Amino acid sequence: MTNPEQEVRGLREEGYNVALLDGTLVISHVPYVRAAGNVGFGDLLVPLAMEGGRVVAPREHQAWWTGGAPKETDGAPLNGISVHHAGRSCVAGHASAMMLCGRIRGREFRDYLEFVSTYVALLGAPAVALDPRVTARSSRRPVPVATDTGPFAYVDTASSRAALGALNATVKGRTVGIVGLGGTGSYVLDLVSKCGLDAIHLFDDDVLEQHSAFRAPGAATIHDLRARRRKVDHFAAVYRGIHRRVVPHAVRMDARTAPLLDPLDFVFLCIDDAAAKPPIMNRLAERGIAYVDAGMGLYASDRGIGGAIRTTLVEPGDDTMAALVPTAGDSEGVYATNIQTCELNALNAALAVIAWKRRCGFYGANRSDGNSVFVVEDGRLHVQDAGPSEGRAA
Amino acid sequence: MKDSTEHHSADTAPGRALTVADTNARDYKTIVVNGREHPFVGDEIGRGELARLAFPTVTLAGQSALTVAYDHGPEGASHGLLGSGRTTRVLDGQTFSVSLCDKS
Repeated sequence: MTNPEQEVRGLREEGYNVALLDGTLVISHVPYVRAAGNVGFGDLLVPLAMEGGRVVAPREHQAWWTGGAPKETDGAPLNGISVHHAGRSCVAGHASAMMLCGRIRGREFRDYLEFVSTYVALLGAPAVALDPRVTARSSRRPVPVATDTGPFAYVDTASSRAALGALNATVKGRTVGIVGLGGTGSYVLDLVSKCGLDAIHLFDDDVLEQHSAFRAPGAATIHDLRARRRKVDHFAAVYRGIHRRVVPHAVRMDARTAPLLDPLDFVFLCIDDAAAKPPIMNRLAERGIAYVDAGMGLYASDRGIGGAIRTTLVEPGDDTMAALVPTAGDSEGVYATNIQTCELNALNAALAVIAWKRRCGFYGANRSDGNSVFVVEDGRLHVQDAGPSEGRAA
Repeated sequence: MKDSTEHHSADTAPGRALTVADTNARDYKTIVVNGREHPFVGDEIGRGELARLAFPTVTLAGQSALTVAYDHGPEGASHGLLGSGRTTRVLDGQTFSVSLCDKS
């Protein structure tokens, strides 16, 4: 096993012009025949398989290709490689790519040098027949290899193996905040920690208590509970294992502390105290920061637990959506229950993160997200489009 | 949101929920609000009436942030959200979810 940087250096020593982007080897200037008698060049993209931060032998034999459909010298489709023509951008900053499928008969590639040299040879053979001077091995000078894994503690191979680098760029570099680290907020953290965000800021002044462990992702140990740490410190320590820039703020969010939200691109509002929301919402509105408010209202009966979970995306200036957020406390106990279950916390969090990622362009959107309500006993998701607003989408 | 049978009107729809003593009346429908059955007389129901069925002590001010959804409703708008100031036509067996979604 090698590390990714060694892999890149090995390919460069063979003369390939190669870079490592988002867990994907990018081999540039690979010759091929794009039409009868016509030589072109493209980039070959090869996702690295990794275990424990180390590169392992390739498990798949597909690659991505930014050139056109490769041909033989006479313009016939290239033998030895099957081409899936539906292209899409799979590494940020690179052209749309189509999937190629080729392999050595009867086995997978032994290593990435064999992987790359086999593809380059198959693609380039007709081009070399037309022009013996063309080659992909044009860079023989050792060049420093970037080792930055971005905000992650190790390379995001889940994205590279699915070729999602270009779509990940829609959320990359942003900064979000999570206000409230109860059941829903802690699941929001679990999900956004796998995004290439520049930083994730946590706001909560509560201590991690025993009941908290049963509504949070993962498994807090008895030692975690006896440590009596603030939730923000506990979760920051856990999630820095994958995302290095989780920033704890052990504060209660109110009018005095709301300016802490000013530098953020987006906020997940996941607090129980509805009466505490107006100063936060007002500050976000003043600063033009969009947010999702997540909340559930459940009841228990002889027929089981019923109720609804609400996920409301509020764009700056969208008073219609803001009006759907409860902002008055329940001091009289009219609504009575504080039932929450971790699976519904997780669903509420997932809907909130999906709404945010759709807003960013990561997910496709046939409508403008606004208010969504999942009714437990119906198993149905109701969706209400967002109202008119200024400054939609970032 | 499907709203072809919802109307922008006052929140006081012409229908009303019956008390137990009223249920001998011949023409009423049974609606289900937060898992509990209620006899109902009338053709339409709004958020205010539903809020009172779900939370008998709720105040008018407290109704505004309630989330109200329905299912098994009339054809063309068989399910949806019931926004402020809106009513829906009522069918026998129609179900409603009324909650203050404020827990996180």
